[in-house]
Amino acid sequence: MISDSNPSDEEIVSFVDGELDADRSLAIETALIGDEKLQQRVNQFRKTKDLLIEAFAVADMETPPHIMAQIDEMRPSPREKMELSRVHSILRKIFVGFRIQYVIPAAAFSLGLFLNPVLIPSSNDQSVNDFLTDQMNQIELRGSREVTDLLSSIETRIDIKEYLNARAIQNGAEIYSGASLEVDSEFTILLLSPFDGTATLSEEVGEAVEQEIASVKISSGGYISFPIMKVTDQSSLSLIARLKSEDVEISQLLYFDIEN
Amino acid sequence: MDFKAIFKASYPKFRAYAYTLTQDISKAEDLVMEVIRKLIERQDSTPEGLNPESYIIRSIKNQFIDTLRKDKNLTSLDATLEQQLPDEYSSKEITGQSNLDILVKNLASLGESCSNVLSLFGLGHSYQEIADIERITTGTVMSRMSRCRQKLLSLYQEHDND
Repeated sequence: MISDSNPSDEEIVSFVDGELDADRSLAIETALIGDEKLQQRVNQFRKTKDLLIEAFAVADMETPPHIMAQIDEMRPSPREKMELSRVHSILRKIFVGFRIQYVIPAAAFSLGLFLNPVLIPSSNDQSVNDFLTDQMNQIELRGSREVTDLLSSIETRIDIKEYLNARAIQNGAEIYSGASLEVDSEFTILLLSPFDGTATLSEEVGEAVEQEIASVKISSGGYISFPIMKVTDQSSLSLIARLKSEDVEISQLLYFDIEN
Repeated sequence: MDFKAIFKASYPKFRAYAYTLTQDISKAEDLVMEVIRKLIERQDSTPEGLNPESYIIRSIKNQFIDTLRKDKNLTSLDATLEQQLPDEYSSKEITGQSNLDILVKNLASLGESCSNVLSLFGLGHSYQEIADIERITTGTVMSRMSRCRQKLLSLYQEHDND
């Protein structure tokens, strides 16, 4: 509630910006009559509002013709066609040199792959897709990996598409890169491991200078939880999560403001 | 999502926002064009609860953070290249936005959290839209608005006294 004689700065700024509800606005308008000190406070916020709007008036200009032309020239990438051609290429590789004696081992292998999720339930009930809550904070890794069937010795390349979705967990809330962490409050970094290997978390302490915080072993599909941390005396925090397997290395930069 | 139409209509707005992040108009233009290219190529759709403009603003910020480290290594090279370019290509000549130039410098000295909410407000976003873009509550927006606007006013008053 507004104390009519002394509204808070938050209330005044919201009033000036037209963000306060009608009742509260009316209360401030009434309090303004004859209160020079309050009028002064309101005017100060009005001044900064004018200043911001005036400075950003350039944003209302028209888009230059050469930029319009550049935008017109941009086209969606033919992702679907590329993927189809890649599938075709993979199938061709599989069937080139395919011998009749491979049929039984290959069938057994395929059956094993098919039954595996049924017979051996995953320790993690959720799929990677369940964690894709925010497109902007994912790093998508696309590529292919060579796989050898032990029974048939057939070498094939399979497509891989992995996601990193690293975020901080503080006071039970998920905080993504670019947002703010609270000072002097414990948090950890959480992400889902797309493969077996190791994960390292480092802090960027200077230009191209990193300080390792922790290194842990990771297994495909499992959560990676780094040690509990706390920031005490800095205004921002840059962390780098690096995941490494035998043949793949990926990293994600996490940047947080530290808020008092 | 027809991002092309939005980019064409609001390019100067995105450029101004990017400028508050990069503090360099050439880098701001590169940043915006990179985001435009990516969003059009990937045919992204807007996440639920976020309007397309807010989504683009958030994309610009994320792209800026992603390229922050790379840019550090390129800074010296950019400076050298800029010295070699004719005057008409220098960043200062391109801007011609003195009020915005002064504001951007002042916002930078207030820190990122202040700079972001104030620039988004200056660009016409409501408290709710700022909260959605910054992934904070409207209460936090209100509190930052109050604190940061007072700091901003002090800075301008200091300059006036100088």
